[in-house]
Amino acid sequence: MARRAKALGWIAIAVALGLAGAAASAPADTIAMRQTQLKALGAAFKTINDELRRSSPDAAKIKAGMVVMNKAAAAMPAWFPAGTGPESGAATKARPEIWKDKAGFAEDARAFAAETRKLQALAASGDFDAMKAQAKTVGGTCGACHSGFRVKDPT
Amino acid sequence: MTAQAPPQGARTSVWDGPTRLFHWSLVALIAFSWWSADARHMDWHRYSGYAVLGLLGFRLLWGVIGGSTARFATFVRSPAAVLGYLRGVEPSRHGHNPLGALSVLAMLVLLVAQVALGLFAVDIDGFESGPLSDLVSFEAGRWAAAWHHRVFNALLALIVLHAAAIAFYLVIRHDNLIGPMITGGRAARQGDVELHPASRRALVLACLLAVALAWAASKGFRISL
Repeated sequence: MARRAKALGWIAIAVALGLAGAAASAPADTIAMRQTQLKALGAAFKTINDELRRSSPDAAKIKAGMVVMNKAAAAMPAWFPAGTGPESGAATKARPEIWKDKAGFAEDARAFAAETRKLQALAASGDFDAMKAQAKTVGGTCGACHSGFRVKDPT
Repeated sequence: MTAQAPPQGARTSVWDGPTRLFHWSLVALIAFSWWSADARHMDWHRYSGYAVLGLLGFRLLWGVIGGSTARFATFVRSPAAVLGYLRGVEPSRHGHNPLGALSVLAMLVLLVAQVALGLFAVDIDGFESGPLSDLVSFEAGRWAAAWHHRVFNALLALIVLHAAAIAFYLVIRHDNLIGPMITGGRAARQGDVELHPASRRALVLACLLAVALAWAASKGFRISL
């Protein structure tokens, strides 16, 4: 009986450790998820800009990229739950300012989403010059948020 | 090329005009590229990169058809000559010394790598990018950008070494290397070999190559005639 209790005790400890491990890895998982999403967002915006710089841009590619961008813009605020900053110990370039200046971060995300929607509306119009100008505005909103809330990359 | 020794005490030419103009244009453009990238003036940074590409094309061709001291065949020496120069056996000659030649080659290699990486680089926003970046993925473009940064730091290290070497020659060896790179000449010394200048046709050809390269890069090398 005592032996059984001892085994159960060990199992309980193992489970508790496992749970703790799972809880500890959660911020890292969130960070990995948002890095994947942000890279996909960057890739989509790059595709759009690549097309806009061609002499005859592919409208279908731009529209497809815009779908990715709009989805990302809508979901983005949720990619940064509390506890997924550098204090989590996981490698992230998210700065603690995201959670200190919640209103500022929300405003940058909102501006990005608003400008992205405008670009999507233009993508349907077929006016590539207008899209080019709006892509620059969208790029500005990426940069604005990155400069305030992301660790500066040398590149 | 006739190896004719100039009379001692007289002025002798060390660098031809195009080589000097190349050198100081490169100094200005590296400084401008650094500043424009730092200040995020990426249009200007790209133009600067196209100009550097043109200059590199000029210098590589000038290394074959240019003035005698600019030619690779003249200044690139064997490892034995480099070691001899370091031991003081091999004399310092007109133009690049055997050790300095290695620095020139290293700088040219880094500059070619730097321009090539810049052509494919993409910024973190997926907005600013080099003219060939549409041929590669976002990830590959980010990789190129990261290496563009690292190679620049290596280039800066070489430039510091270059300036330190010039300071060493100036202070310890009492040999002013800066003057000849500005005026082209210095007082003649024993062992000097008179500079054999390039033909006018060579200059026109090298300039045409420079302009064509810079222009083609600005079009992303996709030129429809």
